[in-house]
Amino acid sequence: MTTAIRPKRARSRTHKIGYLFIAPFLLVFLVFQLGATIGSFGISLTNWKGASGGQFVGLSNYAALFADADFLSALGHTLVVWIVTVPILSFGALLLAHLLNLRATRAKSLLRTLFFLPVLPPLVVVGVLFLLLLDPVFGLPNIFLQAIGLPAIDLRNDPNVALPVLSVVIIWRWLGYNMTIHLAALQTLPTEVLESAKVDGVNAWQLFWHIVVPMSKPTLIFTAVMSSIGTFNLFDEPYVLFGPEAGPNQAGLMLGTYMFRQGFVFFNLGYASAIAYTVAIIVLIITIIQLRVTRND
Amino acid sequence: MKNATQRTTTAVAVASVLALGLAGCVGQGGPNTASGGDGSAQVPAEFCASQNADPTGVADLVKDESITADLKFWGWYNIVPQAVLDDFHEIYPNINVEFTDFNTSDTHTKLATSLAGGSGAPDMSMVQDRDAPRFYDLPLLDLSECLAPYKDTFPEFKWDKITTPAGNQQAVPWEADAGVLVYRTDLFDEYGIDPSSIETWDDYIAAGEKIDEASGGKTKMLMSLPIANDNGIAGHVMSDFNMMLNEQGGQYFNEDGEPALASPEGERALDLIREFREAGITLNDVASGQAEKVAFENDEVATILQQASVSFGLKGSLADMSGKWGVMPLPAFDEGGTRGAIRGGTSLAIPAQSTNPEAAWKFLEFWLLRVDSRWTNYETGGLVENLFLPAAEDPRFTAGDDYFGGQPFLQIVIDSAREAPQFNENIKTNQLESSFKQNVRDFLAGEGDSSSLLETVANETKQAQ
Repeated sequence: MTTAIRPKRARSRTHKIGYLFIAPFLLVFLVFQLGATIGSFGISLTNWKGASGGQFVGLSNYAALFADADFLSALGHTLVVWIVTVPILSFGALLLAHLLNLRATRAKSLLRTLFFLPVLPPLVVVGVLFLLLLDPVFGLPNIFLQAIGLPAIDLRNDPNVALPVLSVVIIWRWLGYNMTIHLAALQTLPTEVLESAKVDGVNAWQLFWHIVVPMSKPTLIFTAVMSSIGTFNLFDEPYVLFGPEAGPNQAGLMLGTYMFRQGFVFFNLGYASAIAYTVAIIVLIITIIQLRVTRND
Repeated sequence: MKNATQRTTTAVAVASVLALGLAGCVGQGGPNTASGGDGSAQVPAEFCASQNADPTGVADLVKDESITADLKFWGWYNIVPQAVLDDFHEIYPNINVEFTDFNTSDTHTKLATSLAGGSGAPDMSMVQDRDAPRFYDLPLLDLSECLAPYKDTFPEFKWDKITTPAGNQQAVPWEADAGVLVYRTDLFDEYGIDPSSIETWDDYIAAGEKIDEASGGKTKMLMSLPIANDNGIAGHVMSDFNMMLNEQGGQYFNEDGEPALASPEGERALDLIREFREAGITLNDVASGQAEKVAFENDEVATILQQASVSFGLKGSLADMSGKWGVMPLPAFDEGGTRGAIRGGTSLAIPAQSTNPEAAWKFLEFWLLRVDSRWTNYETGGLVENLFLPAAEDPRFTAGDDYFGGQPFLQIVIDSAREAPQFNENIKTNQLESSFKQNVRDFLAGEGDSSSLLETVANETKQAQ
């Protein structure tokens, strides 16, 4: 009888100690993240402008959003960048990891390091770096383009280059990071499967498509979801590349920069909170769709 | 199957928390209720009777060791107030000031959130005049009583900028960027342009066409930029429009705060900006600060239509061109018309939260209301230091400026500031300009007309949250 009780006691003590260990994080999280997040929802139902005197306006901020041309264009731009970058950041990263994982590949460590390097500099440094690269006077890509008779990439005056440049920056930065995640997963795959496939005369493409991809499904989902959240949260790169005006004709306006503008340039904190919640809901829907589509039947 | 569902649920939960982290970004710093903030009328200052109050700006000051304080100061251009700190300590040895630099928009954001939240505000902060309306309902000290002795020491428009609708003076005047026309004396000589012949915008365009023709299209009269370049030498279309509208007495907003830029004055200003391009006298859409610098060095631009702070841009980026530039008032719209305009300006506020507002006032008084301090500022790279009128009369300020070939740059600046008509700002100024900037590019390319563009901007501003 007593022996049956003892383990239970021990377990409950362990529980308590566990809570003690996570308490510091949990307290900070509850007050500064969850608390702020819930508070932000309250603010999104008001027209509070950072001073006194915000009134409760119900869902009118949310209604106004869908008639707000700037919000819709920021949403459109974000979706374009998402559609362009996420397949490359998940699938492309897996292909890259697979190539690096092949026995025939030389200098693996060096290549891995090189692919991973872009993650290390701070985001703002990356933005400034690309601004300098694309300078029409001394930027190398532009000197090259002009040498072969093409027009220079003009971030400041050409609305058509904003999203392509932004997508390139994001892919350059995150491809190696996601590749590292895939690589770690690939190295845990049972090598017998791959070896026996080779013995059966499977070609390289079939090996990748029919064996590596299905086996990497969990990491593919993970990288796709994380990259999607990252895209909808984008702020630093577009802000540095296009400045507070978001580029010519606001061609580089993203949800993150628009939220910042409404919240901290125009001081419409209620409206900005509504943007934040709307974006969060969109990300949630996209995540659910991604999980549904890729679910094992 | 069950496992898959559990995994899905967990993943969705994790994703929601991550995504909502972004929702958390905005709410932080705000109160938990919609009423938020103190919201009380501004607290009147009660320590103004100062033995060192001196409207002449030049009297000897009495050393005062009785006040001890450590003050916090926020701003985006702190080298200027920092430059007078040693002189300040001669008089007030026990008042220390700790300067923290933020950029302009961060300064306003942090100040507003700390005032609304009731803690964390500094003892002094820069506030752009155009952002002043954001702070009308927030607890800044009402400095009317402190500033009363100084009422004749600034142009009228500057008092307007710092006075709330309730009649409180919520900040000490510092500067305002007055518009001037800076031109290349050597190029004018080379192509036979007499600067004194440029009195109206029509004269200006005619001179531009003459230079364009005589230089075989190499030298244009000015740059036409829809977005500001990062080194701030050449102006951009937004500031050109603002100054031209102000010059004619036009407004962004009427007295009731309604957008008023869709007006004959607005159309005239906008049509003129497009006329520059159509006359072929502009170098368009220069793509970066670096490209801008190269264009100036290659003699591709003969004039800059800009605010007074252009002198620091020039002296910093184009120091080698000293002596090649001259300065004159902005051309007028009509023969004998106004040639002054203002864009921008900054003043200094004292939050009611200040731990020692009296010491803060002492510092601002010493920094902003003394001719010597103003001169120290100008030498440090300050802005329109002679907006403080006693300084405008001082020989150091009326003297010629070597960079501008010995022409009295500051004299022309203060004349422009004094002549500028009053200009209303309100809480939607930023929205109005944002809307203008995103609509103006197509207009410059020849699409549509000025009246419909201005209507669009007015409507978008009205509808903006």
